[in-house]
Amino acid sequence: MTQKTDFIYLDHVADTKFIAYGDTIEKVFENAALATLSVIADISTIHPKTAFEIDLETTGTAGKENLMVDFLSELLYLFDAEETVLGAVYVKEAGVKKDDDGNDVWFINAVVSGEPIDSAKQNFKTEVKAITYSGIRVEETPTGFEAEVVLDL
Amino acid sequence: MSNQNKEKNESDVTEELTRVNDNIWDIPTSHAYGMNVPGRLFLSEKLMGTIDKETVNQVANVAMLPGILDYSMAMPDVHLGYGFTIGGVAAFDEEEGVISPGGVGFDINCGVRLMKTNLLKEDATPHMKILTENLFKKIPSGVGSKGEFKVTDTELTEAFLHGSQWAVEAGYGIESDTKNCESYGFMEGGNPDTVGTKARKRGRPQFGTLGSGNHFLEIQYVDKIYDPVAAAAYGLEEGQVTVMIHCGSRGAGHQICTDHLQTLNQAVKKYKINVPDMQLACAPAKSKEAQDYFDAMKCGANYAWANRQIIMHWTREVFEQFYGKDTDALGMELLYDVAHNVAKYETHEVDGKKQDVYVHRKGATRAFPAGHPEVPQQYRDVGQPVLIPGSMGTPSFVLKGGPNSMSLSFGSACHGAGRLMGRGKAKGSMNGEAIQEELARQGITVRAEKASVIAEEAPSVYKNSDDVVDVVDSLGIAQKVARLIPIGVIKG
Repeated sequence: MTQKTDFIYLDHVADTKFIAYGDTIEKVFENAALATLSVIADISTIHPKTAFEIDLETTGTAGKENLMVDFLSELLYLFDAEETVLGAVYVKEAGVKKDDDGNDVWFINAVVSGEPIDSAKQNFKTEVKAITYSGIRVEETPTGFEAEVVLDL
Repeated sequence: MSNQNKEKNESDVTEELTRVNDNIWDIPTSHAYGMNVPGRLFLSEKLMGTIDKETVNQVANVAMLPGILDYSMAMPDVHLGYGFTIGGVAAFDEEEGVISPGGVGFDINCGVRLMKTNLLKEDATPHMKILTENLFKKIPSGVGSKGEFKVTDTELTEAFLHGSQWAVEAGYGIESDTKNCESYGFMEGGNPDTVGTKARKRGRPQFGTLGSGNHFLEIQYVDKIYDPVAAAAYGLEEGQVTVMIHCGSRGAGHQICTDHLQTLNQAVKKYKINVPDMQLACAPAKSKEAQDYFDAMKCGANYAWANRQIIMHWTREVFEQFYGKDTDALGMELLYDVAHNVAKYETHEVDGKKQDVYVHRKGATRAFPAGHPEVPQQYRDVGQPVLIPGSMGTPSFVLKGGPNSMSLSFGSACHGAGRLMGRGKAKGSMNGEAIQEELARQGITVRAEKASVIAEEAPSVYKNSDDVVDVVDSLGIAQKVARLIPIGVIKG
């Protein structure tokens, strides 16, 4: 069975929880990013006028979960600091490699794009304050990958 | 979750709790492996149905952290959070305990301030449409809003260090503003070197903005006085107009928490701490990692105090312009300002001995009793003002720190009504415009960026604030002084 759904939202009293799916590790990161951005705005209306490259690496325990939090947090940072509302995400490469000491290093290389914030023009929904680690999981499943994340609203 | 499952969960909840009295329920350490202390829920029977098993488990998770003292506590407005519950209180031993950003949350020093006026309800009600419109124009709010107010890097550093004291010195307020504020408007010992570039970059454009979600600015009036002596000390009278501001540290605080969680998630391994949830990442209280977070958190808290100070200043300007009188003539004096997402280094009595501890209040308000040296001089005989915002359209309360807060809850009380329904569900099942019309019929003008925000924050998605306040009042943690009814609301 192949995954048809990119992401679903689950009910959470104060915040938003989603599960993102992907046939590949790249795709699950991409869909998690789209799930996050779709909470903020109607991404179908956002034009890709400015692009940003995101290159991240994490080591240590829970490498892929940490990488997910770091990657999604980067989107919130770009929204506030670059004053850009993002609508498109392309993950070129993501995965795990070894450093010189033989430790796992999770990495991602992605390009995200969007347009300058203009609240008169864009259809904003809700502010996402932060990406939480609460109950986070990024897992390989028989059909690909899935990631569960709680967003702090 | 289907209704049937939910019912089952709720009945499971009480089965696992030990009833101590009408308003206290304990979670025994046998509830989950690794609990160092029991959990303690301050809940009435009426509110018992508002909590689920996941929330109880989150309270139990906090009880597993090293060096936790007495109980992992939850206030009556408790609901599911991330890491700690919302409404969670936990104190940690300075030597054996930890500091955890999970006990503070991303919105460092999200809090509430209440400003008095000498206007009466009838002076304000007829003008609510214009007043709310003017406030909405003056104070940036909503997703993606940025202030017209531009701060330099040096000013940002000053805000991180000196909070509302800096704002007042820079001309955004009057001297009494810092006198009437928790921690006198700033926590000492903030270290801007522990705040990363990203937090600075997010914080700069958002200075002086309300934000979105549950944050608001509300014009209210005092409709009921419960405690005339305390009300007199606070300067509150029936019919008097007040202004309440609820917001936090914006992107600056969110990024400070994000950055330090990253470090602390690696620190748990270094210090061999078992955390049941990555959001509870922490480090021994005296370690560099924990102290760096604590110093950065203080900067976030100070930013939030400065933010609320500036928003209050602009509110005064709107009122001054509208009524043609100055702040002094309008009696626009700050009553008090409380943080409800913060960690504090405080002295408490544990097992009969005075001890310095790190108290984490996540969605909980400090509630120091009469006589406590940290209560401002002018309120010391009655106790610290405790500000409990209602949900949109429902009453807010002013309480005073009660005689039992120090022995029962490390000097802490609830912080609001507490959510019952998720935002997504609320948006799906409620109509923002209809709610706005219904509130207008009740005499409440709501000005929001869009109707969906109103649906997400509809009164019925929250617990009844009266029920929540009654619990802390009965327990003597914080006692009712006055009730405030909204007449105009600005939502982000």
